[in-house]
Amino acid sequence: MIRLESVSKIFQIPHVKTKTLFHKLLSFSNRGYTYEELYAVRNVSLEVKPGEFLGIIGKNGSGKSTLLRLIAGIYQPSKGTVRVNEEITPLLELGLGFDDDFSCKDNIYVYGALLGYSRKQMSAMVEEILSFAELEKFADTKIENLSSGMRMRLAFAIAIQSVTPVILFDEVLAVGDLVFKKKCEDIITQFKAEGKTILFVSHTFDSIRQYCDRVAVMDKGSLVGIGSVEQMIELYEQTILTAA
Amino acid sequence: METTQQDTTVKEEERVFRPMAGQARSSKFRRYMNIVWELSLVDFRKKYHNSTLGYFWSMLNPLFRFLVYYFVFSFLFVVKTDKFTLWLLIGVFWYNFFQDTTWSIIGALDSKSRLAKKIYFPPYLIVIASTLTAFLSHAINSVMIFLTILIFDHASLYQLWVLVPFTLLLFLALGIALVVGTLYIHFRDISEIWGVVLALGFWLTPVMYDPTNVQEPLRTVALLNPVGRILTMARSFVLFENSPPWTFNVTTIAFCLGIFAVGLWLFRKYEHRVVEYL
Repeated sequence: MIRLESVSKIFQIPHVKTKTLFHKLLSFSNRGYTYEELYAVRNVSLEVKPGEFLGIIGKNGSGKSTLLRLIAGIYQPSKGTVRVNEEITPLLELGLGFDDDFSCKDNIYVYGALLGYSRKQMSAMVEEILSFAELEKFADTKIENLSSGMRMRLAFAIAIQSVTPVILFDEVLAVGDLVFKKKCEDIITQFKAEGKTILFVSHTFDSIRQYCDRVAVMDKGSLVGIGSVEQMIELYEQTILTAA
Repeated sequence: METTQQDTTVKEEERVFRPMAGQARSSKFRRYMNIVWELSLVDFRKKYHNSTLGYFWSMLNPLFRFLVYYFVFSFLFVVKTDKFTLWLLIGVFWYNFFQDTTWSIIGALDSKSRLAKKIYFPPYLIVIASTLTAFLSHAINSVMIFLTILIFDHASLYQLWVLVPFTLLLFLALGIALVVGTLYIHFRDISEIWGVVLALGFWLTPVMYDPTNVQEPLRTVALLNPVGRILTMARSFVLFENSPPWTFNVTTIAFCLGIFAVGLWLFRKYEHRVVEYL
């Protein structure tokens, strides 16, 4: 069960970047620390039932990724409450924040630990992960030498090993060739059959139509609508995309 | 989770192999231990991966520094301290650990904050992991030093007391690392400032001189310095078979654990900012 009650996330965008102590000292003297408040997510209330497949659509910068981060516990909400009583695997944007200096294998072990596996358990899975990602030959290659598609494949291959009941997908189908896309679709279908709760951010209406039970539309940080797939896609196309 | 196999639209032979699916997950504590262990193992390997001598640099580096100081203080400024060689060896290697730990936290926060933006884990694990990385080399080095002492000096059960200052140094270094980490989240130029502080701290710490043999005010500073107090304890236990006064020991223990507690409290208070500020 995921429940958000009037959640807002405010980022302070300083007019002058005062990241250093020196700047801070200077700005005390003339009270120079001024900033603008940016509502990345504004007053969102949302409930996702167990086993539901919820799509989230919206323009770039409309707060979709911030919303997922709030749900994943990575960000603390500025206002409101986020209640999640199940464990979550977030698969956010490209590459899972791999450490570029480490090899694929090292990154798999680190990520495995973050997903809750011991080294022994991971050893049993490393080969499988590499072969799913089609990266068997690159086991000891540093991540920085991989292409963005390869990174995403590796990230996806690791994340699908997770056993958490909730999974967050942020535009994961955007990269990867047709063969890999097919694999992803298979695994998403498999997740759905296993009864996992899935939040799915995508710009591809085809995949939204294919998987989602409900769709939420976001615009400028606010949740402007939530409901059946076709209605929401229509709402998005007619009001938000045309308004711009 | 395995019960829905029949009504899955994916055919059995096409299902992706996920050996752990459906298995119970380990406890939170076990999982956090695992994260710390993996992060520090990988860091440890990365640190020495690209050099020919690999791990040995973590020993050779302080060893060469020791030789330089040994040369300077044996021939240029003669220090009259009993068992000066072994005495200096402990000082240089232990201060080196303190320096490593508090310094490496800055780089660790930089490189691991990217990970923290993608998946939730408590950021204080980053500090513990980077401390553990430094501690791995420190533990091996310390065993080498103590073997040297056992062989060339003397061996007795009393020397086991050295485990007390050894543990204290770990807590103290971790505590200071947590404070430095908290500062770094807010002010980037701590990376420059802390380098200067460590250089100054090296001279304010009785690594190369006996605190009771120097003049005021250095004497008071050196005697109050927690790293110095730990060094005094370690040297007394392992080289001279006597203990500093018990008041000295108790205050040192309280001091180190206090710094650790403050550091932990401070970092945990601001750790959510690691994701947003770094």
